[in-house]
Amino acid sequence: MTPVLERRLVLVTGKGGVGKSTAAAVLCRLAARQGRRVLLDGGAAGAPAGVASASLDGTSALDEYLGRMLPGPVHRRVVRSRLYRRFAAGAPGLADLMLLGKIADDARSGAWDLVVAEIGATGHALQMLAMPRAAASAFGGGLVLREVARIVRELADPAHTALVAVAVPEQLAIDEALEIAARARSLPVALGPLVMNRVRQAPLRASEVPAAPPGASPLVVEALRRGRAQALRAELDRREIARLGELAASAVLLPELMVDEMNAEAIDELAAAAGGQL
Amino acid sequence: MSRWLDHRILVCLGGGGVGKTTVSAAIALAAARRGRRALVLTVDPARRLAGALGLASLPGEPAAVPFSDATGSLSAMMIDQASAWDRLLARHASPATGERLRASRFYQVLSRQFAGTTEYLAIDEIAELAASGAYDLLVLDTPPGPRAVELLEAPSRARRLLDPRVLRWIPIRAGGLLGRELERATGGAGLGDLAGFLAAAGELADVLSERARRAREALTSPETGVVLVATPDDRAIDSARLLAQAARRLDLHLAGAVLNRVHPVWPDPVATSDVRGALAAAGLGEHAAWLADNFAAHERRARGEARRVDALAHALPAGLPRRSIPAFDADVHDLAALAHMAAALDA
Repeated sequence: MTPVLERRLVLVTGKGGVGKSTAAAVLCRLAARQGRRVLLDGGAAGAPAGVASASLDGTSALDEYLGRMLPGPVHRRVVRSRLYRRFAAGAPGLADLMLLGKIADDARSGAWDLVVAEIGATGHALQMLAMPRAAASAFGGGLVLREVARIVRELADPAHTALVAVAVPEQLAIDEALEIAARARSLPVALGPLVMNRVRQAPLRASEVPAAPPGASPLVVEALRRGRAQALRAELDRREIARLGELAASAVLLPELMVDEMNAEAIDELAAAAGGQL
Repeated sequence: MSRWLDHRILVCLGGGGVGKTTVSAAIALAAARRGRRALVLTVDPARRLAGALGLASLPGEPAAVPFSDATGSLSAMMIDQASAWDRLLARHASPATGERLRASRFYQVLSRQFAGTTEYLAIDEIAELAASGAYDLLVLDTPPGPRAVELLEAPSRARRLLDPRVLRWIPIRAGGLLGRELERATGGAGLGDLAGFLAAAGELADVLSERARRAREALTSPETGVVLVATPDDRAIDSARLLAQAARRLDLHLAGAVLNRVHPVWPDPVATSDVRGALAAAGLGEHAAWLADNFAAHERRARGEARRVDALAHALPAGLPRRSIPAFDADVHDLAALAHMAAALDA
């Protein structure tokens, strides 16, 4: 199995609010530290140091694509027409297909060793990943078919692509991660490791946190309460993670940092924790 | 908060993952504990909420929640798209029209998949329940973020779509030259079906349009209020801010804001080494280092949260009631935990 950072394309998805951008930044940072040329596509929170970034937008991806296909003057006329603008905005799935096409292009351009793309929350991302196959069956032949068939092959190739599901140790987020893994197998899209974000840690079990001695000050009582709460949360997190079954073995666990802001320092700290697990 | 509970309808709005469904249920429970007949409606297949309420699953119509410590009552239901459409037909269509609609492939698709129809039905259902007089308070849980705005816009959108001129125009075009062209392009006999569907739906248009008008009236009534729900993080607070703007744009009244899962701040600044010292002095030296670091980490987070809560307060109208629900040590999974939340809301 090709290690995830040695593949060319890493697609990041997961439930809303689980920290997809954090996970993408951590993967980018690790690859960049290994001296690889990394591009972050569609990053919602900006790229870490040493990583290039590009925004993702379906309509401009379609414009770009047509720019490669059509001679300049024709392209400009088409792109400016009202009919085209409506078509580009309205045709279901077209923008998604173009986005995925652009990401696939970036990954095989040779300009980057690794492209990490944030492809949005679970529902939308899974729809997007199903598009190339749907398009391949809709187009009988020709250039479009050749392009989408190539994307279908690349997505399924575990030496080329890794779909990374991000979750936090909570029921709904884990349910969605399991759904992503199941869909990846049926599509198929090559699955990478799962990233479990904000995992709470404690050196003790909740039952091992001592009770407050008689006459303890309010500060001591509160410190013990916070310790017990943290230990209990860590236990619950471990139980949730166990629900991943065999996926748990390959999961990369990122500790909850309790920092005020996910700055470069925080990303470095998470990258250090993740580095040993990849 | 007691003033909030005097509303007839409370619509809970907030970003994803802030605990909207649980907060909705806790608001309804708080009202029930004050002796009112409360109903919480969710559009989510929320199994966990059902479990917390002691029900096996949330049914498509109001089910009484077994709870004993009050004179009021608490009921819960889930708005199920397919069965809500069927009920709508049963209420408003003649048997023949209902039959024709149900047989149409478009009805099947529309009632089960079409985006926006659940939203319309949720509002329609709530207006109907409010008019029935069976409940003193209805609490509506909504989908996260922008989808909730669609929900609130649904009556206006439905009225535009149900404009008789639009409905009459489509079947004519579908039967004409354009229709034949489209039929050739799509290669299906689908448009005949569409025209039939629209003709049958046209018979319902007046009724539906009238109901959409009433639903809109119910939403903008002063007895209806929006409760913003957020957790104290940037994402959720941005969401709440945007939703407050959207609510105002749609002429809805804000009733209050609920900050969920707030961690307590220690009243005075205290150095980590002092916490360690206090623990050691109390004979807890063995774990003092970790407990003190953990205390400090929690404190950092809590102070960050407090700053964000203040920022949200400044962005909302002055005097808007605000309540904080503390972060509990475990998930809210039973009525007792829900009662703790209700107590925090009713403080």
